[in-house]
Amino acid sequence: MAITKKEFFQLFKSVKSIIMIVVLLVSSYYFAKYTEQLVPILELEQTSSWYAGGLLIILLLFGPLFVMSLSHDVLNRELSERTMRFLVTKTSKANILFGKFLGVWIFWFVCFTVCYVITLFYSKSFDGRLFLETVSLLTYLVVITLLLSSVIKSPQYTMFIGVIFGMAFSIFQMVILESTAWYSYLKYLMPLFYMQDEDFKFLIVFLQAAVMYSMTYFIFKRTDC
Amino acid sequence: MNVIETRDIVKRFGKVDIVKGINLKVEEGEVFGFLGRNGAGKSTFINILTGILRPTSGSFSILGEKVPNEEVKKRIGVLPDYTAFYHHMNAIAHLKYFANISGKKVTTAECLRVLKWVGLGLDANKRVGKYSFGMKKKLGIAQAIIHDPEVLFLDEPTSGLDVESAIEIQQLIIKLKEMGKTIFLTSHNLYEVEKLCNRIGIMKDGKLQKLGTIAELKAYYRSKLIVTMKHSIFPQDQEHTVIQWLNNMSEEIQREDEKTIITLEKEEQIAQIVRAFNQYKIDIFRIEVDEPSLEEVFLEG
Repeated sequence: MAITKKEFFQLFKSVKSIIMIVVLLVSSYYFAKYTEQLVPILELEQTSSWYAGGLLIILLLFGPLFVMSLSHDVLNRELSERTMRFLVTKTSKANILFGKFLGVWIFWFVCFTVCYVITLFYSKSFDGRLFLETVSLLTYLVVITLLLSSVIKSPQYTMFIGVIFGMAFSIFQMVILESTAWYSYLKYLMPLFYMQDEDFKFLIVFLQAAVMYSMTYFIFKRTDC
Repeated sequence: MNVIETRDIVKRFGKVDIVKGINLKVEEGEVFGFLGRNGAGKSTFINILTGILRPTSGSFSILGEKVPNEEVKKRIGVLPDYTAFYHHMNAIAHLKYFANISGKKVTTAECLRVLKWVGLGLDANKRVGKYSFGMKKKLGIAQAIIHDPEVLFLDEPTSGLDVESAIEIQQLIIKLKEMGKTIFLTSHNLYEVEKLCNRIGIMKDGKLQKLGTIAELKAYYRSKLIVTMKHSIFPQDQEHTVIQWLNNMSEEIQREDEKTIITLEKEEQIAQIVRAFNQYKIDIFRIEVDEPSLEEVFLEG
């Protein structure tokens, strides 16, 4: 829990994260505020879903960039600066990884929950499925960030690759989903594929996150500190 | 009870074996010194014992438990060879954080007590980013002992410290030894090792070259004893007999009226000479035995 607590509060302390939180809050506020006016114009159905859906869209478009830019060095920073040595002599690598995952996950969960509460003021209704769908995507993004941070040992590289990945991932997902080329099979790896319909297929995104988490643990366990 | 026991520990980086099959036992309450030249494999070995590196092969146990083991980690304290901290946190925050990870909650007062032990009492609230190398080293020792571990692994605890600080840390190690802790330390300072350790191991090219108490190692390399004796003049009527008796003892003798330098093979021969001189009424004023220093033992390896 000590590692979780430290990761969580450390994220709140940086200027970058404060900017991210402000961007999230402002965009969710305005999305919620103007949804009511956009719905009749765009002839959309299920108005209430669009309030929360807006937040999911923000997460789909900018989530990878947000999470990557703040947490790209969650593992490799401590490895490169060797503070990890203090941690591995005190607890297991499984505990370290889970502590870090939980700290980052709770941070983003709190941010998005606050944004959700803001949209609730306008929608006046809570869509549990959509909320869980957002959480599944959030979990996927946090875990893929951890995976990147375990594969690439230099924080400078993960910052660069993370930003590129963050910007390209959303576009890449959409291209693959629309494509019929041989690489269209990659769609099964994309969270968006399971989030297109209003059903519970999105639970597979949690499964994808679990597989990536296991891969991260396998790599981290074999890494000398 | 063996607190540390290793069996054929090997560590390979690429195609190079850095640690080549080390078998070692350290008993409870012992201060074990690990010596070796730069690149001998000392830090690699200590990093394996403390879970920082994974051995390529071999196994080891700490406190009777096979490692890696989560519970064992809570009972050991480690000062790694490279001490980097979180720059934005102060010393107390570090100690609380690390103790918490080790499964023990500590109060600010407890942190201050340990920081005073290592000589950081006045810098407890300063951000670690402003610490000097020596101060970081002291904080490294503080975090190793904050959770009151039974076994301590200290990788060069006094390197980079000024003389006063080094003495403070040596006194702390003696204090921890008196508290019953088992301590495994590496050092380049032979004087320090001689002062602090019950037993030492000397590592060379990834192998444990020598192992034993300092006296045992010195004895091993002491194939000859050069004994210098200052004494009264031999009685004239017995001078010939005494010299003949000494010649039977050794072939290498240098003699002056009141001084004899004799090369012996065994320590027991010194006692025989003392008894003989006593019998011949020759007063002995001083006996000096030239034995190998720890430096010589170290260099012999």
